[in-house]
Amino acid sequence: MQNKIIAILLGLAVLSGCMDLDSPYTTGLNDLTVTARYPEGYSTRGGAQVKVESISGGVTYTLTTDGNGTAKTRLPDGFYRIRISDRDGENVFNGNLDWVPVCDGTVDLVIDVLRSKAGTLVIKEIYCGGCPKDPEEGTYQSDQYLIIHNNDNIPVALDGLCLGSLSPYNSNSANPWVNSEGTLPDFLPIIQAVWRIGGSGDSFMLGPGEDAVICLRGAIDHSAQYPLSVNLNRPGYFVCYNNVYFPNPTYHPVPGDQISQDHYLEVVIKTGQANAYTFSINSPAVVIFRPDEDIYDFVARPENLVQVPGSSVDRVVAVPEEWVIDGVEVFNGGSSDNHKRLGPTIDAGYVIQKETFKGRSLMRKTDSDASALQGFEILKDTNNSTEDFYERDTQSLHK
Amino acid sequence: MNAIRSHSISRSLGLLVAGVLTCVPLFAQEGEARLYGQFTSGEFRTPSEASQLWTAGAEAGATVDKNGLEFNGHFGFEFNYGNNMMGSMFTSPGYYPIDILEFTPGPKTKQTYAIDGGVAWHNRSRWTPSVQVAFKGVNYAKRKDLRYTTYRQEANVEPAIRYDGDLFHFGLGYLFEKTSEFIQAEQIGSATADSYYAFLDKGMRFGTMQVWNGSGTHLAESGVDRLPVQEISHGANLMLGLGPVEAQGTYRYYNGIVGEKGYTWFRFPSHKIEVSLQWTHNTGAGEHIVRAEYSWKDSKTFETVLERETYGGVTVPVIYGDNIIYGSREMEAGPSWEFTSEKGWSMEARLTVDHSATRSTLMYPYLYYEESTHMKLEASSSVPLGRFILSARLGASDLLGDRSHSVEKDETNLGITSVPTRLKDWWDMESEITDAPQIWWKLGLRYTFAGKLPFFLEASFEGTKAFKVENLPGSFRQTSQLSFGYSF
Repeated sequence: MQNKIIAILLGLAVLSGCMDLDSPYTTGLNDLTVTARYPEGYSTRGGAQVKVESISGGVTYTLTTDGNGTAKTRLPDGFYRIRISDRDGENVFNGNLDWVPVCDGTVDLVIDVLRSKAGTLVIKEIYCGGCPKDPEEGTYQSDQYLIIHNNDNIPVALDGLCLGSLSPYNSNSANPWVNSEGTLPDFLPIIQAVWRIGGSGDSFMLGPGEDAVICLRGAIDHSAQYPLSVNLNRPGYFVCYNNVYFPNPTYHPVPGDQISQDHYLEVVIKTGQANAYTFSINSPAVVIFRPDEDIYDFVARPENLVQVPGSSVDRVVAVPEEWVIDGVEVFNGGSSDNHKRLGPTIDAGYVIQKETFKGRSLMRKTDSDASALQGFEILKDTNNSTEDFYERDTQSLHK
Repeated sequence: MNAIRSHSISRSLGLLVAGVLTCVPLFAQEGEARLYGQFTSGEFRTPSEASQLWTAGAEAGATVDKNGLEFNGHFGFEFNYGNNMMGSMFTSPGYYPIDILEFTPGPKTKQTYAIDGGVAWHNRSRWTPSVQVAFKGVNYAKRKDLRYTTYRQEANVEPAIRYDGDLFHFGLGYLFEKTSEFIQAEQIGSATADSYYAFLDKGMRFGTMQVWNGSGTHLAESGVDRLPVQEISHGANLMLGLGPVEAQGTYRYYNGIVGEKGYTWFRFPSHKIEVSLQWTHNTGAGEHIVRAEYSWKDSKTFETVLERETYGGVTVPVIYGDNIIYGSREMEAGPSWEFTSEKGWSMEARLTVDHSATRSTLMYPYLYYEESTHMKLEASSSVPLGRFILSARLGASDLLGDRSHSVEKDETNLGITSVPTRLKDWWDMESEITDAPQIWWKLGLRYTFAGKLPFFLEASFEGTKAFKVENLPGSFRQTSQLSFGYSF
């Protein structure tokens, strides 16, 4: 009886109410075609992975190219970040397009995939997000560090190695370097300062599978006061410390007794105004590079110092992409408005810093098979940090 | 929290066009003023409602007929203080298809100011023009570590005209309504606690979970430091009466947006149709009204594809397109019967069936559908007994059949590993508020004091008892009210 009543009432509802909801996907989608264009000397291949990420939607669609290097799909309106990844032996092919509007029914894209090689020195870990001051209230960010790893099977000298972060500081800021067609410049705009590891050429050798820690701020035992932080006062650690250019003692305390003075990085040039080295807590784009010429001569030439568009005070050092050994793009997990700063030959993807002030860090994955083969730790390096990195709950140096 | 009652003539299908002519006043014909206090408790509630809610208010209203001009007016103020509240930051959760939730249980306060009034001109012709205007302002605040204040304003303007012929009468009205609400949030203290997250609900509790100031929540971002929502509706209603039979229909078009200054993150247009047919029959003992009502509403939510672009150093928002992320269709229908006795007592009975179909398409290629049908029976009566007026109401409702769910994928070869973020437990709790079989009752007693000044004291108790509750923290909720007033 109850079922009859329900059926009658539902029948009334349907008859009288037009209650059907049609799928909006039947008419509201766009046709997207992505074609990978390989560099000269390399033939078009199929099987490349195409990841189409909806920037605001938080979903990634994975496609595979056919023998013509083409992948097709249907998508709703949106801005998309498209990455093509392919690998043929030691040749890594990456291509990407950022903030592609897909709104006009049919969108055909041809994306140049660029060849690069896996690096020898790679950035293993970026700890930039800070931690809580527990048991005190508040947050702490004077303990940022990087770890550089030798991924090669021969020792590599760190002497003369430079590092810096790109403009804009944060990924969710408007990128003033992108032109009207959405492309990045052919140089890397290093902002605030360029740091350099000193040495005579073979002073700081890094063996296969070894790590070098670079403290971006204080090389002290932060964990003594804040247990969720890290002890960065350890022998062999490098530190970005120069109290002439960056005299702020809160962020740049005098390095601890375990840090030798030759491990203080040199300030090649300071182009910013701050009294502490500014390194984004949620979304830096960081690079390590080895100049082809004396870096001091390079920065002394005015043409290599470029004014930040729209700013009358900030300048950057225009570092050639060819100098870069490794770079990592970090996106702010609290924003859906992130913009790429690194091109596909350096980092075709990005890694997300989901939360700040939690002690979280960004870590490169280990390539287990290669490590087992070589007998030392080999890290994954496809020049695509979306594939290569993950976010840890705690810093690797946290004890 | 209950809002102050409003005089809007279009809120009920039982109130016809031609403004105050047919508006049932909140108070007795002459006027009334009262102070009241109220306490609500019980765990048959959503997390957006208070575990304990204290209310105090004052209101006054009157109707005056002078030289053919009939005026009515009403104003009120209400203060609410609720404990253990979180969830929706909006003053009326569910009013808009977009919601924003927070997760720091704590006290909230709300102040509501309402004023409305109208005038009808009984001239010597058969035509009676009228207009009714209402305004309401609400401030809603939480003062915890994640603190926010929500401001809401409502305005209604409803001009109408009525014609009374010998055999028939008809009326025509225009309906304008604007509501706007914005949330200003800030954080006091550490940014690291898990509790400082917010969830932007885009329909069916699918949405974006982020730290409260993440750009995905739209609570605070460059260009717009608040979450503003506004909805404007235009409509018309038509009434036609022939002897004891009267029919009316109302159509409204709503146009809602979330955002401002060109940053329109969502649009939510909707259409609503309401029709009713009633028959009035007078006997010597009183008046019977038999009525059949029907309403239907179709709503969609579009999420815009918006990008900030900088031209000559000036950043402006540019909208590239939009996607339908949510749709719903709601129907409500049922008969009712009212009887008002010549001796002053009254009785009413109503049967209502509602059916709703909702669809979320937040993440392509997923389609989530839900449908539910409820039946509600309610009867109420008011009986004068000397200086007392006894009122009672009894009702019951249940979900007919099951709440149907379905998930479809438009395409399956896209390598999707993620699914849309959903607060499923919240959705289940909020659905249970309407789905659980439940009964409710209300008993009220009003006493008018003897003497020249007609003061009165009124007490009421209202309870709801639900059964088969699985997701909510309790199955009972009550409201007790005491009011003291003066009729004039």
